[in-house]
Parts: sequence; C-alpha cells; structure tokens
Amino acid sequence: MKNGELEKSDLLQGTLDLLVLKTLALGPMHGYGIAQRIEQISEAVLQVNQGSLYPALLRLEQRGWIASAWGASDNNRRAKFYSLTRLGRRQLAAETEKWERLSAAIGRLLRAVPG
Amino acid sequence: MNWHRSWAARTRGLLRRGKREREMNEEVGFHLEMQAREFERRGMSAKEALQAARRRFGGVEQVKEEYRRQGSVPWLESFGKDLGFGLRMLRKSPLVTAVALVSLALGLGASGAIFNVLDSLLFAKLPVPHPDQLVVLKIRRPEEPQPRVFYPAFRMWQGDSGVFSGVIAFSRSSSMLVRSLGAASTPRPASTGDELGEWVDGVLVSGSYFPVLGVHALLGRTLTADDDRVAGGHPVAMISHAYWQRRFAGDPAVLGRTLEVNGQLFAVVGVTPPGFFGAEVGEAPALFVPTAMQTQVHYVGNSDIEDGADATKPWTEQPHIGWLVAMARLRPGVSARQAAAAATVTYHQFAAANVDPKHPEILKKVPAVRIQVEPGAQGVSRLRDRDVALPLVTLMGAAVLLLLIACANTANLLLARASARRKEIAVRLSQGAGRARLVRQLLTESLLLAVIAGACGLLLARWGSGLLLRIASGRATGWPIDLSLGWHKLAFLTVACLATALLFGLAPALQATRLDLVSALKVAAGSTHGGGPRTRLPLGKLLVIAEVGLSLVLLVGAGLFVRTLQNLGGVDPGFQRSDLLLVRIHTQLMRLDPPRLHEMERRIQERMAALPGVRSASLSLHSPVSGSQHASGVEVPGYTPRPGEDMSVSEISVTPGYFKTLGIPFRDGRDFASRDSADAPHVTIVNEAMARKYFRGRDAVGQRFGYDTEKPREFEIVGVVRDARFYDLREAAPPMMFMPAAQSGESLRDVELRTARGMAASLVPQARQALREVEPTLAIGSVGTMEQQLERSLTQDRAVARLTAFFGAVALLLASIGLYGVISYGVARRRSEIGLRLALGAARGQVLGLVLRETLQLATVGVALGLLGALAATRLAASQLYGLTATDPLTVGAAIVVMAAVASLAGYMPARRAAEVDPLTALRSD
Repeated sequence: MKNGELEKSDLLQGTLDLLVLKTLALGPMHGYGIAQRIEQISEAVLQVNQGSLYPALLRLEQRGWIASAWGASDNNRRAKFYSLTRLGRRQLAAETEKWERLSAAIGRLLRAVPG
Repeated sequence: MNWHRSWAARTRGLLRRGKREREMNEEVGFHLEMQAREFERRGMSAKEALQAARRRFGGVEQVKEEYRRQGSVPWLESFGKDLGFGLRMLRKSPLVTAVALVSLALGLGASGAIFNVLDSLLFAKLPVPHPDQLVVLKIRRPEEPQPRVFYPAFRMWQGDSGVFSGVIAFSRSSSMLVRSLGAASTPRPASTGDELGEWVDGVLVSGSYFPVLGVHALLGRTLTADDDRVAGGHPVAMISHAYWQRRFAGDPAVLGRTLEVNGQLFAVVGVTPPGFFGAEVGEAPALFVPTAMQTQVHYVGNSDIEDGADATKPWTEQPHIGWLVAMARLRPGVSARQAAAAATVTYHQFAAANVDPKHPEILKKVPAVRIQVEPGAQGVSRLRDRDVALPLVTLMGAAVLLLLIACANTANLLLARASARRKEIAVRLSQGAGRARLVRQLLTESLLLAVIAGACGLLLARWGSGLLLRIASGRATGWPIDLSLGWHKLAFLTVACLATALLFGLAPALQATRLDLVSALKVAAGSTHGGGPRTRLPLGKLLVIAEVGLSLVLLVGAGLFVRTLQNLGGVDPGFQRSDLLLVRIHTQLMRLDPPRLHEMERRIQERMAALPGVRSASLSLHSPVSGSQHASGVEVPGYTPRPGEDMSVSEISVTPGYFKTLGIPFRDGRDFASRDSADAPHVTIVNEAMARKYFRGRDAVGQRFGYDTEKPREFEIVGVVRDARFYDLREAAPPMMFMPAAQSGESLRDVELRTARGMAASLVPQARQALREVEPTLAIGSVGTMEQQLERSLTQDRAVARLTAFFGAVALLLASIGLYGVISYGVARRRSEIGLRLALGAARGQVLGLVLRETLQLATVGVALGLLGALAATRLAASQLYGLTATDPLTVGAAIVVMAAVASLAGYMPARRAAEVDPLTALRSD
C-alpha cells in the first residue's frame, strides 16, 4: 500500500514542491491562488493537479518550509494564506540549483548529436 | 530529514483533529468556490460551474482522506477508529454488552478487592527506612511450645553487635484504660461509654524500638534507650498520630500533658508519624510506653510463664517469662543464617546462666534450642496466621473462578456476535483488509470491553476491599492496614484486565477471521448465520462446558461453606447460649488486696443476681468464646505422660453459681460453695474431657492432682461438669479445670447474667447502672449477649459462606446464559433441518427432546469435569469446613441437581422454539 503511493508521487512531488515554493517566494498566497499563478506564469503549460496540491501544502508545512495563517482574500472571504519561511527560502535555493543542474544535464543530453 | 518536526506536527494534528478537519473543509470549500466563480465568469451556469470545479479538483473525498492520512499517525488513528467502531458495536447489542460488562466487572472487582487485602496483609512492608534489613527472632524448642522472648534474652542479643545493628522488643496490650488529666479543653469522645476513661490498644516497647526502626517523632521526641533502664522508673509515653487527632484534636500542647494509664501517670513526650502503626501489622496502638513500665501498667497478656518465675515482680527482670516479640536489624552483608548462629550461641549462654539449678532437666534441653531468624520487612502480624489468611485465599480462588467463568461467557457472546458479522468480515477480507488488521480490530473491541469492565471493577475493588476488611475482621473499622492502591495493586488489575481481554477476545477473533470467503459471501443476505457450522460450534460448546464445569466447582464450594456455617450456628456449645448477658469489668485496675477484691466480687454477684429479670449471676476470669485462654501443666498421680505429651489443662477461676448461670450440667459431685475459701483446702471442678483423659475408669471426684508451675498446688476434685466449647466452636472441649476465685485470688473480668427468656439484651442499662452503684470506680468494658459473642466468633465463616454463595449464584446465571446462547444458536442454524423433520412427520415432542438432550449432553460433560475440579479444589478448603467432609454427598448432589435444573431451563426455551418451528416457513427460507 505504502510502496504504491511513493512510486506514484515521487517525481510529481518534487516538482510540485519546487513550483509551490517558487510561487510563494513572490508573496503569501492561498491554495487556489497558488494553483492559478502556476498556471498563469507557465502559460498553462503546467496544469496543477489540484487534488495533490493540498496534501503537498500540508507536507511542506509539516517540514517547516512554509507557514500558514488565516486571512481575508481579495473578495473578502476567509482563506488560508501560505508564506515561505526562512527554512523554505533556503530549501528553494537548494532545489532550484538542483533543478537547474538536472535540466541543464537533460538539455545537454537531448542536444547531443549522434556521432 | 526533519522527520522529528513532521512527526511533531502529525501528533499535534492527531490531537487537534476536529479543528484540522473543519479547517480542511473550509479551505477546500474556498478553493471550489473560487474555481466555480472563475468558470462562471467564462459563461457557465452556477450549477455547471460548481460541477466543473469539482471535476477539475479531482476526487474531493480522496484528497481529504489523503490529507487526513498525512496529517496524522496512521496506526494510532486506526486504533482510534477501531475504538470508535468498537464502541458502536458495543452499543448495538446492549444486552450482550451489559452481561459481559457486569460479569467481567464482578470478576475483576472481586478478585481485585481480595488481592488488595491480601497484598496489604501479606506483602506490604513496614513504613520504615530499609525494611529489608529487619528480621524477627524466634526461640525454637524441639517438641515443645515456642515461647515468646524473655526480656533478659533480648538484652543479650543487643550485645550481638557483630550481626545486628540493633535489636528491639515489644508486646501489644489490648487493655489500657487511659484518662487524660487536666484536659478540660478537649471533650471526651461519646463512644467510650465510660466516665472512667477510654480503653485503647497500646504497645510496650524497648528503648531501642524507635531508634532502630528509624522512626522519628512527628512532634516532641521518641522514646530512647534512656527511657527504658530502671523498672518502673520511666513514666513517659508516646501517642499515635490517630489518637492525637481523635483525642486531642491535633493540639501541639499535648506534649507534657499527663495521662493516667491503668492507674499509672505518664507524661506524653511525643507523637508518632501518621502512617506508622508499630511493627505489628493489623494493630493500631494509641500508646507506646517503655517495657520498663510493665508492672505499672499491669501488663499480663500474651505470656509464657515457666518454672521458677514470679509474675508479680517486674517482667524485665524475669528470665522465665516470655512475653515479647523480638526483631532486629541485620548489619549490611550479614546473612540470616550467620545471625541465627550468633543469636543461638548467645541464647545458650543466657540459658546456662539463668536456668534454675533445681530444674536440671531443663538445662539438658538447652543445647537443642535454636534461634530462628525470619524475614521481618513486613513486620509481624497475627492476621497472617493460617486461620485468618486462609479464608481470604479461599475467596481469592472463588473470585478467580468467577472471573474465568465471566471470560468464557464473554468469549461465547463475542463468538456469537462475530458469527453474526461473518458477512461484514468476509466483505472486508475480500476487499483486501489484512487478517491481522481485522484481528486487531476485534481485539480492540475486546480490550475496550475489558477496560470498561476493569474501570468498574476498580471502583468495586476500592469499595469492596474496605468492606471485605470489615467483614473479615468483624470490627466496624476493620484492621488498620493500608489499603491504598499502590502501583503493584493497579498493575495486578491492569494485567488481569489485559489477560482477560486476550482470554475472551483472541479465540473468537481468530475464529471469526478464518473464513472461507466464497462460502461466506454466498450465504443469502437474509440469513444472519453464515455457513461453516463446523468452525463455530466446537469452540462455543467447549466454552459452555468449561462454564458449567467451573460453575459446578463454585457451587459445590459455596454449598460446603454455607452448610459449614449452618452446622456451626447449630452446634451445641455445651452451655445454654440464649438469655445470657455478659459484662466485662476490670477489677485488676483497682489494686485491691485479695480479701477486699473477693469481697467486692461477692457484692457484685449479689447485686446482679437481685436485678429484676435475672435468674442467677456469676463472675469468672473469662466467659466462653471470649478469645481468652489460660493453660498450664498438670501432674496426675498414676498417669505417666508419653514423651512430649501435651499435659496442659485450661483453667478458669469462677465464683459459685457459674455452672448454673451458664447452664452447664453437673455429671458428678458438687458446685463450689462459700466454704471453699482462701484458707480451705484447694478444690477444683473438672470437665468430662479432663476426667476421661487423666482418670479413665476411675471416679474422678475425690481424686487429687498437682497443677500450676508458677505456684504448684494440689487440688482435690469435687465435681465433674459436662464438656462445653469454651474456645473454639469447631473443636471438642480440651481438658479443663475450674477453680474457686476465692482460692486462686485472681481478678475476675467477666460477669455472667442468666436472664428470663428474651430479656438479655434489654437488661444492658440496668446491669451497667447496678455495677456503678456497687462500685463507682469500677471500669466497665464491653457489654453484650452470648448470642452476639457467638455470632462474632463466626464472622469469617459467614463472610466466606455469603461471598461464595453470591459468586456461585452469579456463576450459575452466567453458565445458563452460555448454555442458552449456544443452544439457541444451534436451533436457529438447524431451522430448516427441524422443519424438514417436522414435515416428514416427526412429533413436536421429539424435536423438543432432541434439543433438550443436546443441552443436557453439554451440561453432563461440564458437570463431570466440574466434579473432578471440585474434588481437587475443595480438598484445599477442607480445614475450613465443619460437620461435613469436602466430598459431602448431599452438598455435591445438591449442586449437581441445581446445575442440571438450571441447564434444563436454559435449554427448554430454545427447545420450545424449535418445536414451534413452522415447517413451511422454515423450508422456504432456504
């Protein structure tokens, strides 16, 4: 049971975590807003699986990378706002670097000409 | 990484589950609303938009579940879920739950209460520093009674400083009449019933007592070695915390106050701490006075007075009066064996120096004497005597039996319920739930049941142990032993609870989850009882057989004890028990010389006999069944004792008219008369047992014999009276002799009044009043009828009989529930078979017989096994029975008949239901 879950979410999880952290680096935001912003910025290339967004938020919070507080939304509704913690900022930097190394490597690999 | 942080958060999440759940719902709701609004903006209708938002979000419930799972500790949460589920299941079948809970709580509570008392009595250590260093020193003589310790011997052991870091000696006294002088501020308690003072228990203690035990004074100082040097020279006392509170309202000014104790003035120097009751467990002394004051407080109780002693001189100077309990503190590293060797050598030196040269035969025996060193961490206690502890052990056995029956019964009920849930379990198994997970859930339910029952049991145990103590002690206050629930008592209850849960829960859980899925699922939805009869019935039947068997053991035991009580209540004590009033007086405190004492006793007798409603009156050293016994050795001319033969004869000093008042008939000779005065030749009246043993075949009247080692005298027998049970209703009278008080010179302590029919109890005030008129300064003790005294002597037997009878009744009820359940189940399962039989022409009576026969088969096997168990178990209780043997056919037969009757009744109801089966419906339902 446990194994299955891990396999299913391993890749997604890392990516989604990075996107959430990056989005929150721009400022505190509620869950819906995070999903919207990821889609806007990626010009709808990345569609957030909303179902896995909230468990991810909880996980990040449990790890202490983000914090949450209740506040009022733009239309004056009660909403839970997430913000990046100091620990999260450090984590974002580390993850970003890792991601860039990884994507550069993949990029090089894909550009390589057979010969 | 960060696992601790995330676990802390999860645990917090678990604790705040309600809040988390609300917030999660709100957050998801907000998300859906925003998304729907967005879709609406793009032109959807409100309804479409909301549906689209939900689709976009994915499975809302799955997400929530995932969110929940992550936010908490999975197994703890599933345990919580199991608990909730278990509670719902318990609520769903309230009758089953109630029967299980009540029976388990009774079993747990009863065994808990008894364990509590036993534990406090047998295992609790004295509340002093390093109790494990304490030992008890006992004198062991081969083939002779073991005397209490002589004061000079105790002094010599104090010199054994190589093995002992300290030695103490003490002796309890139950008759100390205390008057507080110059204490106008504190009102006298109303309960004493006597203007002359209050009777309290006290202890005479050596000066080393408090320092060696390591007990410090709560107030003032403790007694020390300097308070115990010169006989009669240390009028100082400590009082107990309880007495200080009760009598002096906790007033610190009690220090330096003067108390009159049995006529001697004592200065209070200190108060003992609250939890300290002395080294004798089960006693609650109010006073501690130095052993040096023995003569001054008229201590005479519990002593072994040997040849060459003079009991009128201070006992601290007497090498031949054993009256003390000796305890010591071992030096670290010294073994009990080393200490015993050293103490024995010292004792031999002591004996060699002290034995009267006139008795060389005693000196010859000295080398065989050994000093025994026994563990003393728990102090000493007469409550640990076999006859006090044994009834408690018996009751413990009965309570454990009851608990086992309750377990078997609960297991059966759970089994029945589990089989009703076969389909549910099969569905869950087929959906991939692990068997272990299901067993865990079923066990959680059992545990829940056991814990609730245990909590009820705990309350019952707390309440019951106090009650038990009062019953067992026969006193309103019980024994002052510490009954607080310490950790090992709670541990006992916890372990009992868990063991019970496993015992009744595991088998049904394993059985219920061992399913053939296909057949279980195939069963028609309407049927509550799924197939696989072979998997369910044997265990259920086995449990019922066990229940019947165990119940029979309890029934037989209860029957034996109830009949013992009946026999004891109906035993002819040899005197007329009704219409007899007893008054305890304390003439010894008046310090009269023998002629004036005798004169006062004569006046009391005359005045009492003249009371209206009184037929005759007498005085004696003690009345029958009062718990007192005085005995000494006799020398009878022409009677050669076997080696080591017990030549002791119990003696009582009485006034003329004693036998008439008690209703003991003369077999031969005459009563004492006024001519048997102090200067007349010594005369005695003996009982038949004495006449039989020492004057077999001869006419006892007119015979002479020598008696008393203290003041050897020759007695002439002037009368023989019928045997009467003076000491123990269970035992035939020992050889006894009576002597005229005028000749023995003893202070008499009991007044007996033979009253007109039914007047004994109503004459109490008149008797008191008359005594006061005769002698205003005479201290009066307890007043009561002989019937009350006899009742009191049967307190323990009554407690055992009542409690085992109660346990037996509960066991019977549980066994019948078990039988009923199993038979009903069988009938329901075989409905179609029964219907078929009926359709094929079987008579209804035949069906009834079929089911009844099955019931009785089960009961018979149970009874047979139970009989074997009863034979083994009741043998252990044989010594507590009276007037019947442990295999008494009548009792065993009655138990079997009762069991069979109850079994038939339990089987009859389902049998009738079987006989009333309508063949058509029964056949159609399959």
